[in-house]
Amino acid sequence: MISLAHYLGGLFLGWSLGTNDSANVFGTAVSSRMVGYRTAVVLAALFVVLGAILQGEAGIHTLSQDLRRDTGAAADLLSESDLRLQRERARTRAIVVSYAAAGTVTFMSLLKMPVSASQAVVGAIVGADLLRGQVDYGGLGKVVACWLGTPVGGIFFTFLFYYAFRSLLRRWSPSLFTYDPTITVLLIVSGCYGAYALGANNVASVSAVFVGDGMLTTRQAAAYGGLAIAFGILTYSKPVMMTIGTGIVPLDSFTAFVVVLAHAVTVHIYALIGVPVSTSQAVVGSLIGIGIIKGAHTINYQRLGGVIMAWMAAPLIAAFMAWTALFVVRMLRG
Amino acid sequence: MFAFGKNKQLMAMLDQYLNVASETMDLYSDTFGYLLKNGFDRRFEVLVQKTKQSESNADDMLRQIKMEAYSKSLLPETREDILTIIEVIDQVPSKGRRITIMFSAQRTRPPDAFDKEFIELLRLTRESFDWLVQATRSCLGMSTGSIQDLARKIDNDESLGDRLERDMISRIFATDAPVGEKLLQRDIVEKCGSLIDMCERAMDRVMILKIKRHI
Repeated sequence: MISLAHYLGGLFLGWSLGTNDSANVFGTAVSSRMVGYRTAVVLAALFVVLGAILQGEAGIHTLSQDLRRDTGAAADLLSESDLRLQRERARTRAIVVSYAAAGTVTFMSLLKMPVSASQAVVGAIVGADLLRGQVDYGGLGKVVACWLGTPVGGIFFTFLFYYAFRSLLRRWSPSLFTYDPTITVLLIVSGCYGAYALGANNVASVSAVFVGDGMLTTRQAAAYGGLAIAFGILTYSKPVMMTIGTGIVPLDSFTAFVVVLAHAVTVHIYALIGVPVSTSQAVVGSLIGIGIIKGAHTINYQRLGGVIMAWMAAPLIAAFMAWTALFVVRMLRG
Repeated sequence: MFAFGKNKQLMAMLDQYLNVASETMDLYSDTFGYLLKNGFDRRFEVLVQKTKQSESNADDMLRQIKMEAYSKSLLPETREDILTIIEVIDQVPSKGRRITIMFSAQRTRPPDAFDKEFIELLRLTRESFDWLVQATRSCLGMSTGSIQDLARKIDNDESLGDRLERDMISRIFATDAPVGEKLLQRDIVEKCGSLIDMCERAMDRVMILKIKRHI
């Protein structure tokens, strides 16, 4: 029963991540009608699974080892029954964290707000730890650092790519019959790259816990997490896509391409240096970069304020949900 | 690569359409010029029919382009912009055809006293339409040429045409002709003059597309 709840929790978390974060890779292309919604979700789902399977294992391995260390630190000093009790508690905690984070991200998807699933997970872990009185404040510091660092990375790469590609295009000066298919191909390729990076980076948040628990192998967990994210992309990713594509800054074909590429490179570079970051925060940073280039008046500040509020609210909501759920579980168990 | 090939086909169709539209405007000029010189006769009716046929061919091509444009790999915004420009351009030969049919059906000849002015108006119209076609080709990447320069030239022609039109209307109303006759003559002048205004409006659309696509 607990195992089923555990698997469903992972599926729910993967699904919610797919509904929210996938919007970032094709949101600008879909909302500006450069790529069809159906094409975009199929490609995003496919490349998320590929990214999860081909490059997600390293993240799962690292995270699952951390989880094993947490639960197994005092294993030698405990009796068999105490060890079983500790493992059951850890599993319950993991289930609660999954549901709390997934519920938060789903709620934000319903509000059409892009948020960070990994930060919702961190928020839920902090909420659960608060009840135990064992909070790792280092995790909180990381969340705040990512809130600032990821959008700045997005803005930086947007400036870099915007001026580099503009200079190239001005020299080339193609006719619109050549330019249109070229920019569409570039948008699709950069979107697929973004989806691949999303799968590689975020699958660990969804399914590393199963490896830590000994329920799945690393490869199985990568496939399970990737498929769960793909399921979210295929079923309910349009609302957040529209927020990303049209809500913050109006985009044309060229700026849409720059945004997708800049956010994908930002996420990939952070992953390479070992910091898992939010694709939502990277893409919003890129959109702000376009807003700065085109003129501050082009930015929809009301919508941007809403997005930033959602970023801050997501970990807090997840923490509250996890704390409450664990409290109820404790009360029920006496 | 397939997408690039499909777009080349659409580009060829647009080029062909612009040629047919230019031919229609040539026929409009010939028909009008012939009427001013020779009046109503069989040859005039043949020219009216030729203008009508050429414009009808242009319309058929326009319909084909609209259908083709949706199956090609153009961005939706580009597709809408191109179709809008072509539709606005198409209004010029359409109006030219309607004017020749009006002369043929009503048997109303432009006033004799203004032959020189009408010939000049026809020249300005033909010239403006040529520049509009050149600018469209340049904007779509089929040829090179400064769109701004062409827009300036059309603007000059439009001012000259307006001045001619105002002058002709003032002179019409200064005559002792019956009021009905004066109104009929003014209508002819306004209809002929409107073609240059239409060229200028179409040119504005071309300029907007050019500005929108400037990176």
